[in-house]
Amino acid sequence: MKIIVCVKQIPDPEQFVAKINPETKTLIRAGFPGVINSFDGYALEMAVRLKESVEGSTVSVLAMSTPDAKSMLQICLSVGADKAFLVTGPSGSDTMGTSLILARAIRKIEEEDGPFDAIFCGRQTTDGYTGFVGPALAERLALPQVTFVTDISAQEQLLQAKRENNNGFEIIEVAAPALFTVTKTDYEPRFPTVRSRLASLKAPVHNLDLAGLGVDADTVGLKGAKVEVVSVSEPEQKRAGVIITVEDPGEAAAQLGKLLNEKNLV
Amino acid sequence: MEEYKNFWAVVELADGKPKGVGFELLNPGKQLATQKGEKVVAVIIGKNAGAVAAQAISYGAGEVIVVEQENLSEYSTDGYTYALEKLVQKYKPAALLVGATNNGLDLAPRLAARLNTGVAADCTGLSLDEGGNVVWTRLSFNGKIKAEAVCRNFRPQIGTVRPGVFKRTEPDTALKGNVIKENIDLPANLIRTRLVEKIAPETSETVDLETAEIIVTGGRGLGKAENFSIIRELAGALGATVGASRSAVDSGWISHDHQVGQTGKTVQPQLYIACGVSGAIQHLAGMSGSHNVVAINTDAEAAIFKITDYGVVGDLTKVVPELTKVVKEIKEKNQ
Repeated sequence: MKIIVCVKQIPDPEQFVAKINPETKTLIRAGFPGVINSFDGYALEMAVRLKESVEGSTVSVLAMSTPDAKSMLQICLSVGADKAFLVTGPSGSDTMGTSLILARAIRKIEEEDGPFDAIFCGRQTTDGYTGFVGPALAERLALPQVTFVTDISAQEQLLQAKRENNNGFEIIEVAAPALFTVTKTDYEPRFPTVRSRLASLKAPVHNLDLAGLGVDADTVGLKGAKVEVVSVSEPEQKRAGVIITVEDPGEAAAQLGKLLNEKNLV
Repeated sequence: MEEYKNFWAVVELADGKPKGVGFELLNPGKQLATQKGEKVVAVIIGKNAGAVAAQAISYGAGEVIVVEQENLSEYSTDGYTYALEKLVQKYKPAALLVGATNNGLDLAPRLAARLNTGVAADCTGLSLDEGGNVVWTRLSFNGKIKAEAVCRNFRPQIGTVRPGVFKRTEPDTALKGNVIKENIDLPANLIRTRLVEKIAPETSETVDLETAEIIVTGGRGLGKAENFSIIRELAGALGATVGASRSAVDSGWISHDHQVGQTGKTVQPQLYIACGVSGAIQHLAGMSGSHNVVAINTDAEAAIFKITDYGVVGDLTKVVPELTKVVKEIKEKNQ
């Protein structure tokens, strides 16, 4: 099974302070350490587990980002990915533009590496938070999709995915090639070993040139965004914050209950 | 562009029953349509769609498009994308509102890519600009950033809306609307996925956090699984849904469908009570849309207190049972 996982580098949510570039009306991501989007980490782990269950499988990773995403891709190589690709995209691409670039990049990689059987994405990023890139990418590649996947298994070219839906699950069967978006799994992504991490620091990351992908520059980036951000603002924080510090739990509960009752919240 | 008219609300069915968010969408849809002198149209695809049409009209749909046929009885990406593509080509709606359920989020971006148009995520407000384009408002980064976006040059405009963001109107059976039945001629082998099995939720309790009015959440501060009974008792007294922080879920104290936060559910209740939740940024991302936040925590410096309306610094295992008592008393008095 030949697998490729689309991963995104996002500003570390532990440290990120959201600020807007007033001219482009896009997020300023620079200046914060980059980490892998958490759902992409689950997607990579699922892909690597699938690889381990089917002999002769490979996992590639692909990111569209700024050049500094190289180190995130090397970390992917230290936890089970075999090959990494980086396409330096134009900034300001919306989900439609991003999916177009990723689709062209995957086709380009397939020219040399052969066709992929499974494409994995995280269900959404935790900075953009739309979840639109996966399904849009599947459409551009004309592939079937299964979203919100928590588990997957393969028998020959037939893939069976467990999909989260309506607080329950569905088992969905699809023949490869297909695209899957991955939500939180029951397991956590593995950590690199010292040896795998050291090896990954020397591992190559293949750069893909946007021009070489045959993407019309007008259809991507800020210029090609189909949904245009017309205004951004930082709304006032409304919390007044009454803090009850009396020591007696009964008294504290009574005070809180009174406040909630006054606001008709009980 | 001018030929694109009317506002569509896609009403999703689950086992033949409408999901509430579809009716919620009719409310803002109708407001926009009225401003432009156009119609709000409910689009219902699937098993039992015809029977749900009258309900959609009572919630304000001026027209209903119904597709009820065997090969579209259950949701499939390929089938529903194709059906909506054909309906859009035929009727040319100005905008589609789609509920941000798992199926809605599966469908909306795929359809947008197919129709070569734009799609806006997680709208919390809808209005029209001078040119008659929909202005999609979105709050992100814990409500710290409010963005307004428009899709000027492409039609239809598509946007997703989370359940619970808009309130449905009171149903009015006196309202009238026409029902159009459509049949979609699906090409053979169009649907490439096969639904093998549906697995019902493990717990018998329903965990509908996204539409809950009140949520009581337990975090790491609970200390052990057994202490969730304290949370459940308060939730029971309030008629609330039980939520959990990631660390409570990861400790195995409660199942993942209770999790609120970045890798769990995003919620917007009237009242959110966080018990023993420190307030990691990933948790705040999921609950900052709450209208009123209460936190109970031993650590006065916990980040959660920065965004609370009412906080109690104290041991939740003592304060929460007392609060349950107080709530029961208030409820009795208020009756």
